[in-house]
Amino acid sequence: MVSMPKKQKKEGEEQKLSSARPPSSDDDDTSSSEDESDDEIILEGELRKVEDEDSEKSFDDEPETKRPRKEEKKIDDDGGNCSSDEDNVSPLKVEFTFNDASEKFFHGLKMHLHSNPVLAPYSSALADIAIENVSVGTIISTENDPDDNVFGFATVLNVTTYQKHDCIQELKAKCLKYCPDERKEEMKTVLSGKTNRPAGFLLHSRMVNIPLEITQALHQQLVLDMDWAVEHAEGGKEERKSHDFGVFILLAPCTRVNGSLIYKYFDDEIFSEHAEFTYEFNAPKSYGSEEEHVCSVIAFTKTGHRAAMEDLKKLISG
Amino acid sequence: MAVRCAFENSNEVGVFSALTNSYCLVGVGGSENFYSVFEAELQDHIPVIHATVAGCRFVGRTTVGNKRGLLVPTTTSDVELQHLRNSLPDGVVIQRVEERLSALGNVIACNDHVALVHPDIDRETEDVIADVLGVEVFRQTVAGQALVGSYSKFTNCGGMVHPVTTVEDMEELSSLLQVPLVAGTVNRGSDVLGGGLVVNDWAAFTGLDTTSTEISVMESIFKIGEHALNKQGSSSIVTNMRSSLIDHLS
Repeated sequence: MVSMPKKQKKEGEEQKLSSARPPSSDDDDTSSSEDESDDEIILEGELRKVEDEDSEKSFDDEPETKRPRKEEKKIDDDGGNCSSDEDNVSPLKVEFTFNDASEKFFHGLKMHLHSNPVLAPYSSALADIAIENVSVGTIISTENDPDDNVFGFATVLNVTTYQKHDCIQELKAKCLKYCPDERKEEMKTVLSGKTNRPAGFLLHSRMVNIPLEITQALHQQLVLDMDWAVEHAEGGKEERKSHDFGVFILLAPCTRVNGSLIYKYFDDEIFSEHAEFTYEFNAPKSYGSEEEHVCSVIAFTKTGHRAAMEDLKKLISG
Repeated sequence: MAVRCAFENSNEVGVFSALTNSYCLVGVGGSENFYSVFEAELQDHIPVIHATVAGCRFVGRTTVGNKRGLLVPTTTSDVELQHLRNSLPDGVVIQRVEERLSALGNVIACNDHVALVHPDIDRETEDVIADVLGVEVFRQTVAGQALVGSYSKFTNCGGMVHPVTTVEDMEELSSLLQVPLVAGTVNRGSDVLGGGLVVNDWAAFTGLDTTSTEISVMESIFKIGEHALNKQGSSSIVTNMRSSLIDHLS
């Protein structure tokens, strides 16, 4: 559906971000770094925009890169005990790339979708749809990755375009089933696709230790995608209109601890602050987890989305 | 007939179940959908048994067996062992194996005549395998992978190996095992055959993501379903469908 021009634009805008040194909980580091906020975040990465493809690779391309990075985190988090080891630990530079959805990312996408207990039964179907929905949606991977690891992704699926798929129908049914009565009519209209501007399911997920700037860039990229698709999508006027989302529905995974709701992703919490309305329902139980999994349905408009993006930017970039 | 199923949204059916010609083990699940799929196919022929090993549901990877016997790791509790003894058919011998590499399903691949084992397995374990399962044991790797149980799957009719196995390797293995082999994948490109697939001489179960191409390769190499051998020893596609598929010009 989408052809060359889109791809080229994507490459021009692709941002390669070096990772920051993982946050450490103690302050007695020998490295000089800027404190971003009062809490533990110490960032010394650099953000650079890559115009051409000739950038030098400064890291090992194998998937093993993920493990040393995790181990590095462990060493840092050990606190005072390992202060002698910290001199030997050097930051690992990882270059993340933001890509269009493609078939090679199927397994990574499926794994991410599987981690959300509400979406897990439809993980394969949703992964397929996300790949089909190539005009809007980003996948975080690394360059020339032989395993096509997906470190994170974000996409918006139009409720009407994919209404024939069973998974979308069932998700809609779930949303309506647990919707509080006062919002039911509103939700029905939104999901039926009869609103002025179409509604979409916002799906996103990422690995736990993705740096904050990457998270911000991921959401930013989604906004850019939508704006671009409205102008330039190749499928014709209908397709362009279908990407001009007015309402977003986000199924955010949370847990209930001592009665209070804790969001798995902090960006979901920010979205909920700008939402038209939210409601929760209990997610299907999964074997072995003692925590109560809850799904929070967050409905917000395009204005709410942009406002949340501003908040996110302030939170991360200060 | 190859059947697609899932264990609690996971496609790794070979992890949660073990299938032989005389019995089937199934891990305990939250809902019994998985168990009923197996029951529907197998109930009339062989017992389908709920089991756990060391309290864990991944019975497919910790146990290994064929029609004559079943081997379980040391971590199996006495209660579990007793339950298995009671549920298995009379002719089947069950034995607990003292082996450092306790995930027996990953390190051993066997059918009713031959077994392939991890090169580092103990001498005593090799003897137990030969004794209890009544097979000839070979220490081999598959495509450079020591976990033969994970990366290959074979029955008395045929076998499937890791997709990057070289032709020479496959020929060597095929002559050892005396069955035809094919390099293939399951669950839409996954190379972990032991985890994604369980098979015996007449039935196969695989994950929901398995493509129809993968299923047809499976059915043809394991001689299951429409590809089952008829009396003349050739599959039905060769006999019944030949005339509609092949047009003779002369």
